[in-house]
Amino acid sequence: MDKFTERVIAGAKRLGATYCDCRLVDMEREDVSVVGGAPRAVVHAHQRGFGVRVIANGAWGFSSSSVVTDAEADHIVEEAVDIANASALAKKKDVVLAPVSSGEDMIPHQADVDPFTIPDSDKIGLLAEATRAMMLPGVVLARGQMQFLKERKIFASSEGSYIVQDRVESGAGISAMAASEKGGVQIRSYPMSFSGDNAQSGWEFVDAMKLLEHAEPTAREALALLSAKPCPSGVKDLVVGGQQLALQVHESCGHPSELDRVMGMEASFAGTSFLTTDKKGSFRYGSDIVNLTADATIPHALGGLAYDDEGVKGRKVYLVRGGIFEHYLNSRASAPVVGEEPMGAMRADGFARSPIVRMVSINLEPGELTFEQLIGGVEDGLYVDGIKSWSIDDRRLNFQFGSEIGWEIRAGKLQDMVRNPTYTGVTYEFWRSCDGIGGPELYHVWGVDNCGKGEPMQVAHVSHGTSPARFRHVQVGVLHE
Amino acid sequence: MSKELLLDLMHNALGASDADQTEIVTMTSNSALTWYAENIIHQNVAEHTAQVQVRGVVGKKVGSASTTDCSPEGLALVVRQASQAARLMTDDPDFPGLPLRQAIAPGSVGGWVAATAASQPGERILAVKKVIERAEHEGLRAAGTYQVQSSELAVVSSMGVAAYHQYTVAALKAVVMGDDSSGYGRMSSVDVADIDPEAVGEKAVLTAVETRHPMEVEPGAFDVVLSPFAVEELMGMLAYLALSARSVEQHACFLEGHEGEQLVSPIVSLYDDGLDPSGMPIPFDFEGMPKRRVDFLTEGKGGNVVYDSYYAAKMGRSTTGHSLQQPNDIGPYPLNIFMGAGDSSEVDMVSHVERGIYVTRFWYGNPVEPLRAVVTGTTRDGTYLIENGRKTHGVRNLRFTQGLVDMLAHTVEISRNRAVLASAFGIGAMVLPSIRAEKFQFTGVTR
Repeated sequence: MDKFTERVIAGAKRLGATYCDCRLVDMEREDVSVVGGAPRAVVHAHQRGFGVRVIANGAWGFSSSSVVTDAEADHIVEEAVDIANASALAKKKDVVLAPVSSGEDMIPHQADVDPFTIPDSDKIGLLAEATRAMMLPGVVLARGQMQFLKERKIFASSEGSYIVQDRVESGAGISAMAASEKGGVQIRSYPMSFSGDNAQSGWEFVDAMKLLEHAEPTAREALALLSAKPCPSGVKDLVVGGQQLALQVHESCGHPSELDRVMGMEASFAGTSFLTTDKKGSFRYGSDIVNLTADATIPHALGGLAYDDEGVKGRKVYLVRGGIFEHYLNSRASAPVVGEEPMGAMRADGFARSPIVRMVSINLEPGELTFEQLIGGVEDGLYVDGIKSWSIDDRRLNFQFGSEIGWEIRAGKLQDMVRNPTYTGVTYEFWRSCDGIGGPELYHVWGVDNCGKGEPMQVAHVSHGTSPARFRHVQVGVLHE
Repeated sequence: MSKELLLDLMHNALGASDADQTEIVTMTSNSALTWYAENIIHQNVAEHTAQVQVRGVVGKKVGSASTTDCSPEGLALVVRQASQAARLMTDDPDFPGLPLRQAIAPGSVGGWVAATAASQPGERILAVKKVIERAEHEGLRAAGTYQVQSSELAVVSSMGVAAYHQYTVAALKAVVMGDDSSGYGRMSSVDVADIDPEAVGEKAVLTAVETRHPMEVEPGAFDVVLSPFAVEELMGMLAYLALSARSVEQHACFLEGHEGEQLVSPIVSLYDDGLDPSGMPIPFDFEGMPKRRVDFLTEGKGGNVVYDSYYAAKMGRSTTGHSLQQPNDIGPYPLNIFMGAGDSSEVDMVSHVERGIYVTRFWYGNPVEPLRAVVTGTTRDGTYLIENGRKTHGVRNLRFTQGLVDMLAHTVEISRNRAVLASAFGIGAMVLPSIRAEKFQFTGVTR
């Protein structure tokens, strides 16, 4: 243990804490954005600080600071213990943590090429070329962005854990916006919407995206959408592309499986969950072929981790197996309440915030079908992909999602392109209607770096492994006038 | 940190810059939050953070860097990183240079209360216990947060800008749940003494009790009465989609080219005023430019949008003092939206509805057609059926898909009373009334 974390933990014990952990985080970020061939921003950000979590008098306290000095450590420890003592005034029972193994470990990052060693001019140059290639007549905005993160996190606890984890993340994406009076505003993105795709990898991950090769085809699809027919409205069979399905998994499986939500801890902000504890082990969440996992061990996955922010080793559990809801994402304090072992899903955003239950990599296990077989099994339907808009109710049941692009399916073949496709449903009805999942060759783990949760808001980096999948009798093309 | 100490530190750091122009924005925050659920306090946290954001300008090239290290060495390093980043950029022909100092209204606009800054964890616990006890008395479960924050915003630049503002926020909210219903209460102020936990708890409990055993209502077009919380979600979406110079640039602003024209109901006035002490005032923006009132809609007629210095120069206007931290993808943004008060009350509005829906709040709004400000989301925490002028029954939550401008066009009644609703961004607030609108589109129902 280093002297700083040793001082924090000794101080907490001296003040009466029965448990203490300290996270010392040093994080560097770089964000590069380019619009229409010209660099828009290069932002370097550095964040360093520590957070101290204690249990005193049977209640939690937490405090954090961006000033990493011995004097500040003493102040923050004292404040954390004071807060815990105040919390104890309103406690109904003592916090109990599930036992976990402790020890020392050092986890290296998974990058081959440190993206911070690549000159910014190279990053700008690649994005400039790609966005210029997208500026076809009719394209009003061509954007490209890259984001990189390098972090060293030290976790030390009064139970004897001392874990140093290094992490490197890389991500990139491009998008073309086209506009016309008839077609409105249409966007196509590659490889994924918003910040693109992200992974625990180095520059090699961005390099492999071949942004330049995909620039013009991406822009051409945006332009084609302008003259595409509007999405038809009705109940149809739906094939959801892997990228869009990542959002579906995130919103309708990942979030409702968070045990803190289930126990009401998020009720005042993001809401609760329909996956109440009485459903564990028996509730039919999806059809027999639906298997959903929480797997922190997938190499390079953005949501992967060796240890969470309670020092619990990351592992794989089945949230849904054979369509039956089986397991929650949990914490050391919540897992015993439902008879589970902690599975390593407590994560904090930076040093300043206390860890909460978060997704790791939440994945729909691949099936056996080819893309042609998925489409071939539809007489009258729609194929959609590309995340555009999402909304889901506070129990994670009623959802309405919009995609960037869609195609009608008739007699087992893709037909006309449609614009502004939307679909809506109820989570378990939707997943129960799943009758086909793409095979391993269609499987990809998408990295999502903008998952918001908690108060104050925390942003987590998660991931979702998906293949395209087919759903029967879904309401598509939501009318609103 | 004190005003003098912070500004001195920042001014000294300007000296380390080799850029043509340099701007330093510092936000410090001492924030504490008590988080409760299922009638227990499950998180109780504090954080002491500082964030320094620097723009370095070399010719028409702009670079940025940020740090949490407020030491003289940390500031000098981040200033140098910003100018290095600038040298990597190409010229932005639209960049007008950092803005020159402008006079900020003398004296304070308020916004800081010593008692709020000094409040202790025990005080928050006692307030939260009052909410919990009220819920327990009815056999209900309370969840929520009580946040107290004291912050500084300081901006200095080589163009003579030197602005400092200190502000506080106290915000208590409660979601109270029964087996099949829930209710919501919330109060925010710069002064912790204004927070009334009994009132917050009472409102949430009453709604949860009244909406027990919700019935299902077939979706469709309804007359609605929207509480200020519901109006807040929709106005937040409108601000993001259509009230800034960026939305004009993207031709996504319904106000563009329609100044002075009757666009929505003549009873609707919507504006941003960072200096109005009845909200949560901020005298200047993140470029240190003074806040100016911007009228988006005056008695339903089209007005202006908000600008920062970049968009102002690009579009031949003056900055209105609405820059967020630069760089950002959002563009200028209104952090202090007000809707003008009407002459009605919620009780009156409900009494004027033959068959409609009362919405306590909306949730998870997201654009469906950004160009037309069509958004979707769901109701939550207290949705009632109104029949013959009375709230008669709780209903299952409904999904809406609605054009926001259309909604303002069909607004027929606005309340006298307005609620101050602190922003989730930790700075600024909306001040909003309840409204009654016709033909609001519900497109789905939850289970």
